[in-house]
Amino acid sequence: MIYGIFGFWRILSAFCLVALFLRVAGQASNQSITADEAFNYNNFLRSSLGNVFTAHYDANNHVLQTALCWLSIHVFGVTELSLRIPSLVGSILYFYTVFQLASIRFNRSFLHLVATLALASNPYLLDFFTVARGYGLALAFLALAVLAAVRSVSCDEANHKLLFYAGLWSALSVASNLAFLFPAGGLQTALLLSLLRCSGQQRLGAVVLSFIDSAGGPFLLWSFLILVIPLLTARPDAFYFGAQRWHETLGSLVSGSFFHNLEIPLLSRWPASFWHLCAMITTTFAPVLSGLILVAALLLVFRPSSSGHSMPTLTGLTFSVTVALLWLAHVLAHVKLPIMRTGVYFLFLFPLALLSFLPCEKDSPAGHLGWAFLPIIVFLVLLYVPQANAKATVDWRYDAATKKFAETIEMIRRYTASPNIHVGGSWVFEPTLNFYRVTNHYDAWQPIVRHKSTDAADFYVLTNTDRDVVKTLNLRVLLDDPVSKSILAVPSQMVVGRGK
Amino acid sequence: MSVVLWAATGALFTGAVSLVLGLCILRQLAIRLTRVEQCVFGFLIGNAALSLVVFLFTAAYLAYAPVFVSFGLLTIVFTFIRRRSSPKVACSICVLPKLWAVLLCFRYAKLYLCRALGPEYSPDGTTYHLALVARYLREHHFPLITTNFYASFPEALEMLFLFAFSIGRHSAAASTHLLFLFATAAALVGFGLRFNVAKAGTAAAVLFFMCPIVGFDASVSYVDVAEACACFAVFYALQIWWQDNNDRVLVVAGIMAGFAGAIKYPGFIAIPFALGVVLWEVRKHRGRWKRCAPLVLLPAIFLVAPWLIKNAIEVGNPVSPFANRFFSNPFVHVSFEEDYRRQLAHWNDVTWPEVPLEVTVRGARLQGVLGPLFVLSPLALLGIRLPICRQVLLTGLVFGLPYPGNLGTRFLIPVLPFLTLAMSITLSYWRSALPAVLLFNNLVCEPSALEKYVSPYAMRLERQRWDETLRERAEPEILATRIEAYSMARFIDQNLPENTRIFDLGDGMPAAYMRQARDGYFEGALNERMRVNIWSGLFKDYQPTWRHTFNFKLRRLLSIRVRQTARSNAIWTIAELRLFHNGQELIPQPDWQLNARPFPWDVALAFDRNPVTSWRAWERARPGMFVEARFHRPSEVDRVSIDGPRDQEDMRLVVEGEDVTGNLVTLSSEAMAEDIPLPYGWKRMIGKQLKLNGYTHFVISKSGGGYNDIRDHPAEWGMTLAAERGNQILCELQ
Repeated sequence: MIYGIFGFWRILSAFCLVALFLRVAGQASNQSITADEAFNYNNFLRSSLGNVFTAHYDANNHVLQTALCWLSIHVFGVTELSLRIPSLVGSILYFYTVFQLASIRFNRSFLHLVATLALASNPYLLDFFTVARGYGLALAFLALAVLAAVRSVSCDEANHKLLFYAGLWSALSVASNLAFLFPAGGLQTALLLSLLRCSGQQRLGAVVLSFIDSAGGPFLLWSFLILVIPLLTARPDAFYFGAQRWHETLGSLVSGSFFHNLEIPLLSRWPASFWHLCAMITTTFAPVLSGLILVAALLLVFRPSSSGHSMPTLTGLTFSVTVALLWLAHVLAHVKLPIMRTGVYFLFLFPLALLSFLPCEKDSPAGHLGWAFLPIIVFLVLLYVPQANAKATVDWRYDAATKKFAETIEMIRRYTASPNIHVGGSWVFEPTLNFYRVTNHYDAWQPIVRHKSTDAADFYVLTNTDRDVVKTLNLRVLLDDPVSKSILAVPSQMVVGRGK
Repeated sequence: MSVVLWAATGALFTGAVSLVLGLCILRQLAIRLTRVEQCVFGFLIGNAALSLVVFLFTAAYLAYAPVFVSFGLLTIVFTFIRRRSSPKVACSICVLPKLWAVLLCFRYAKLYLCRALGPEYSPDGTTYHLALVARYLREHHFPLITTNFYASFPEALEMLFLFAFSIGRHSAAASTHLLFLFATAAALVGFGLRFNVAKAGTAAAVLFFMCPIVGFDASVSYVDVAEACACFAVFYALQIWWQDNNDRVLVVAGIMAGFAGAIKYPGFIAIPFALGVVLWEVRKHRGRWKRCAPLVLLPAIFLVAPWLIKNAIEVGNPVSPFANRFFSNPFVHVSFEEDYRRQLAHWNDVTWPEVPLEVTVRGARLQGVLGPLFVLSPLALLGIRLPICRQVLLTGLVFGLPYPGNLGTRFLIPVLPFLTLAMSITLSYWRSALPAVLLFNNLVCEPSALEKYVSPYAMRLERQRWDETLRERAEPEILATRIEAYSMARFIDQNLPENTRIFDLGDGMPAAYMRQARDGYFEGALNERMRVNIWSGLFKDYQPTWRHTFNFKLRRLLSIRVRQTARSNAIWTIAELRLFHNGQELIPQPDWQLNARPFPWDVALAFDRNPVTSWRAWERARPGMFVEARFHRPSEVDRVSIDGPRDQEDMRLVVEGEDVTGNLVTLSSEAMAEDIPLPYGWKRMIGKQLKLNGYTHFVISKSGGGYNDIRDHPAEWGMTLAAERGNQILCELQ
């Protein structure tokens, strides 16, 4: 009965999404705090809500996400999970949207499952629903905006309510993470072009005005209202994180997606082949496919209006305009290109654009292209699914064991009854160790400051790249975490249990 | 507490008398208005009328508190009696603004009230707006003031301040200005209701009300919000005229235009605007302009003319301190006017690309902010789809025309009602935009939020200080912490006789709290001359230590003229001009006719044998300037010497003479330059000059050059140190 109403593949998709949510929630509750989350907490969340908006701007402050985190920790108390509740809510929104988009495009077919997995199971993308950063929430809002836009352009007449939601969700996406200004801007532009394409007898000015009133205006206004005060203190050097070449952008996204934990059947047995494949995707396949998406979108734009083509046109244009905006900003304003997490929206837009071309009319050029995209989509899914057992995030892998290290340090301190300890080591652990020092009330710890990793300390928390310090200072390794590759060490002359 | 009550009484009484007067005039005009409009226009027309009445009382030496109060009470009683028998004007639409708008404005209203009723310490308010008002009340008339150009500004609102001040002193005046903020908000609401943009009108009222610079300005004794109110009322009245086709409304528009011009010079633009709109609208009805144009023009002229006439009589320039090239006068220098205008047009060297962020979110260099929301003001342009919004935008543009003349944020206030209305109309088309925008503005415009992102040097309101407002500490104590120069002003007020005349070389004093006359160093021609004199004791460039001597063949002349032929930024200066015959100096005779172009009024100073005094052109040097001496009888001259300061290097001088046949001949263009020493006791001579010009005391502050020199050696300047308060010293001239 249920199969009859919902369809087998849709139910399976739903189960997959529930499973993905459970996996994300589990990781969010168990995973150690990461450096960027801890930095955010230390700098923006410890005082009033107003401070989120008026503190000196830092690119780490993803304003809407930070504000929601503030609310969350003031309701539920400060824990890793409470900080991550907004991201988890974002994951629910995202999975819901993915399901809806797949349903719009593929109804009850097998491709529904393929689309769901292609859009939702990328392990690198899932990382951002497990940490209290704005990327996950921004992605969820962007997906909602795309959904609203797809629905609005699919209607015979412009649906102002849906257009408004497309603008509103886009604005919230930008407010959650400023890096999403480009895809949100791309979506708005694509939406306008799609509306113009479907305008029929309406005057150009009237369509543009209608778009501004319904979507563009609210997008601009809500983004402005949330971000204007924080951005007043922004300086160009705050936006230091980025790439100089597209190759770096693609490489960072490809390796993040395929090399999450290198447990892909077959490929993991031949690492050289795997890396060759990554390099091929970065240098050849992805650029070629991007070009094809643009060509297919343009083909549809200049064809006579058809409601069946609205989604591929919109998604193809969104992807293409986003790339174009990034390129223009890079060339004209020297804005850095996205890299790693700042380009995470491509992991949604790119497969979505590919997927949306699949059910195009078989005899159309875009339809031919669409079917050529199917093997690629299936290939992506085959690469994503085996990596679902992630134990840490890619971007903050070094922090995977920081919580364990902090607890161990405190346990030893209590055991030795040291009244005052100095934790040192690699500087990247400064925010996370301070986070645990503050939230767990490790009052005997001196505030952790950014020193050289070789400076004298009672405990050393070192990254994989700072392992040489163990030899240099003749340290004794207490813990060596296999996931993060980070280590906890103490000076070799330290006698555990001395205080007792 | 009683101070607050008196202040509130003064402001409310002024408002009530105005309203009653205005309603009376409106009834005579029998115009069909809504209740909101009746209140707004009644209040504004009444203010214009009351202002004129106070002007007439003051001009007639009747500026006494009892006179004002009696007039007010009689007006109220008379109107009340007549009201019973007068026919009621029909009221078409009346809807109260929504509760949420009132709620959003409530805490701002409380904040403004707290500031307005508190001690008045705004810079311009205490320096001249209320200083002049206090002086008029003290002397019960308009004294002849030629050494303070601020006294030449139109003072229609100051007349209302005077009315309120006579009852509740300084805070009453500030609170009177605050009434105009409420009136503007009400006008925006009323406009929205009438022209079917009710939501936008209400939102515009709230946006205008919460705007930081508006709130600040309205809560002190400035005049900008009143000007904005009058300007918007002109537009509003013209719209009603256009809609109802009732020519009597033009009288209201004319009164408003005149009132705007009488409040502040930039408001003058309301008169040509109103006339232009009327002529444009009636262009297709042949002959109708003859009936309509006077209806709008005559009331406007009636309100503006008193101020122009007063200036023409007192300082020889109806629009003083501007247009001094056209209306040459000895009271304001052209060089000052040019510098003043340049300074206003380039506040703190702000460039045009910097203006948008300065006026919206930074505020340090243009003195205040409109609020971050106004970064989105270009959105107002989207409203052009509606005819009413097109008119609003166009009118806003017209009232924004004077803005490049003064880039201060305050000078955008007259444009704000139009801008907020146009923005609100645009936003009213966007789902849930208006509530979001108003809530946002409510959060980011309050003082505690402004502290976070606006420059600390921007003009804005601080958090509520009810302790100050209720005078929990003595007012002088509060003012001493708020105004740097207040302790000196209080010392002067308490210890010096009322006829003391002070020359102020400092950063300005709160003259509103002093009974004695005080002349700032830049506020008039004499003041500038005194300043240059003092500077000649401090800076070498100002000292007349450079002599140019022109030798030529002995000629018998009817007159002799020194002509300047170069173009330069320097100001041509002659400390002494001497004529010689065979090595003997010709002593200037009383029957010599002395002349100069430009600025002939001081030319005698070049022939007075006193090197401290000098003739200056008070304009940048240009060819054609001259100084001339015409002899009673032909005199033989073979040498001319000119003493002046060393900054005259760019000048090119030619000595010409008129021979006995009446021909003008060039005598010499080659000068021999030499340095000459300063006379002994130079600084004492400067002090003596101040005294000779009627000053009894002299104030200088630390920031002014020469502070240390004068404080440490007052005797050298012919002064004695009378007091030192804060960063200022007061010296008595011997």
